[in-house]
Amino acid sequence: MSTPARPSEASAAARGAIRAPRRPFPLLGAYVALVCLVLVLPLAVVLVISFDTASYINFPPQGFHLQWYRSLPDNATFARSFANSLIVAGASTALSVLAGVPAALAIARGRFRGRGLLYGLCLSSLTVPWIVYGVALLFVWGFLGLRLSIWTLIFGHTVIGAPYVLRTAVAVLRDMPAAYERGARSLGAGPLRAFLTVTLPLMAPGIRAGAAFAFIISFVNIPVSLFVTTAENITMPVAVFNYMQYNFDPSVAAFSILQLVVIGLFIGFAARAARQEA
Amino acid sequence: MSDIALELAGVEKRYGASTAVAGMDLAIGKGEFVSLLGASGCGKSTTLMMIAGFEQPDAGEIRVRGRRIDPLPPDRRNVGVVFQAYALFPHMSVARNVEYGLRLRRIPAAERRRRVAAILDLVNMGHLAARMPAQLSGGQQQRVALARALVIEPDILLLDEPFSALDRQLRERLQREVREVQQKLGITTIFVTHDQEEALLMSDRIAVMHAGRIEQCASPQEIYQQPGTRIAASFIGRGTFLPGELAAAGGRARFAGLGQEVALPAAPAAPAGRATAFFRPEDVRRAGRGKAAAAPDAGAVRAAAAGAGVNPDAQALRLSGRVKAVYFQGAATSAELLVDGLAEPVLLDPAEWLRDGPLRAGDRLDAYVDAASLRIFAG
Repeated sequence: MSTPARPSEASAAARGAIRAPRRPFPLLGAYVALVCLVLVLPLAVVLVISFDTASYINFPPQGFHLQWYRSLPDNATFARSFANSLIVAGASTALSVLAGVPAALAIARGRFRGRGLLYGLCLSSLTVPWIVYGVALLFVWGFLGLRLSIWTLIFGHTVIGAPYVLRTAVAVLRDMPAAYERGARSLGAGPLRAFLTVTLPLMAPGIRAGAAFAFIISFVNIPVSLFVTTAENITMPVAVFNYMQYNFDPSVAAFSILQLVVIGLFIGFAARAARQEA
Repeated sequence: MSDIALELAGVEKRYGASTAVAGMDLAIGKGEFVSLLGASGCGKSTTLMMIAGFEQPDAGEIRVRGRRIDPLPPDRRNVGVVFQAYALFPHMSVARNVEYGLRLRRIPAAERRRRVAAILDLVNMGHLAARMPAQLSGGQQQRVALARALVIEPDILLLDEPFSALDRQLRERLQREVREVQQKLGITTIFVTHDQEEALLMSDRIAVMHAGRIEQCASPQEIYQQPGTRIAASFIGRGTFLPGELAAAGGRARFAGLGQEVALPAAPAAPAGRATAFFRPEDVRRAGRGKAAAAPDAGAVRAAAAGAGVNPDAQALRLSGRVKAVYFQGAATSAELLVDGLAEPVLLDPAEWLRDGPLRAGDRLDAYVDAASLRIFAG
């Protein structure tokens, strides 16, 4: 190249032009920082309290130790509710995937009347207040003469979790050209094999993201659980709720932090799946 | 006929009240390359999808070597399809994509590898077998898609506008490559396109489609030189449509239009009455050149034209007017002539005239078309 300086000059100018409007709103940074603070501060307080040496919840803390965390397994209600929550969230997520993915296929790929209506109906539990839904479930079980058990709880959580899987799966399918499935079919794959070898692998990130949301929704849910749990199948948030009514020691803060860690894990999982999708 | 590879008999497809394909008949010989050409919505893609098995015909039969395939699902038809774009499985490497159909056919691994390598070499993609589709250019992706469709040794190869997402240069190269591969393998091919140049370049025969019907199905040369219908004429190549009247008095057919009457050497298929004459740009010949700078003597020219127009035995249609524009296109030059009494400009192919002297916009021009070059359509 005889004139290497020219292009670099040009690109420098271009970079300058791009850099110029980088801080058009000097107040925006401060605003974002404020919003972050408001969002994070309450959680930070819980975190600090969970390490406090005082035997009651107060702020600012008096000292630092891990006693509240160490004693968590000794609290039978906490231990059981933690296990229950993992079981219920895991099982309802699995059922949500089993219900949501075929429903998404029917809605996104099927050709029948009332698909839109069906889709809206399937998503309706996203808009019905959960507490209304919890009461309704209680009545249904009573009417059917079913005793409340971990299974009734798993069912309730599946109904509120499945729409998350359905929605992400439908979104992925609608963006996916029919040529993929058609290509597989024309090459000799039956409908099931085309689904398993082409459609499902391509849907996987969307399904994973939806499943992570379904897990979190189950894991944090109080309104539905409150009505359909019993002492034996109590879940984590309900246990926290109950505990807080009669106790004031920071062990509940430690327990809440544990809950946050699990949720954080699944949010990370969902975020990674969303990136893969893009 | 035993060498018919694919046959469509009375194939129809309706969507609600609208008819996408209306009673289509088409027979394609073994190894033939036939294009379905038409504007979007003409039914060409629907026809292809019915052959592939993704759409079900409402009436008619589709046969491959005499065997009905229309009741079969797509995976039991042994038809290879190359789609417009985005058809390679993005989660599989090039080799895995091509191998897909062979795995389903339970071909042993060693033979699979051999066939995948051979077909990838044929489309010049052997060196990129390990790549993922996202790492390939559009042209490379379509080469792999072709290999994937061909490796299963299909009875029929279907190409659904496979070049439309590519830029012009690449498109032209791939057109030649695909045609070469098709001829080498001797595979019966149906090609759907809305690009007439593509169809002219690649096809043994072109079926011009309009409103769910085949307007004309013939070799590219025949469709160009003897378009059977107005729509076929407008879809292949360019030319001028001249409204007028067809009369068949005294055993000889005459076309009256543009204030003239021309004796036609052969009786056209169109019935007497309102008719349209059609001619190609290269059919227009130059009679002489008027002076652009001179005072407008259009009146004199028109009077001369009117005087000659009453001659019922004229062997040519005269076109007098002013050159509207000259378009230099490298190897070719085209021009438009605003003819007195015609709303639309007449397309010219002035390549030969330019040897005698330049042609400029605004020039007065007297030209003519031989009666033998006129195609007459009804309406």
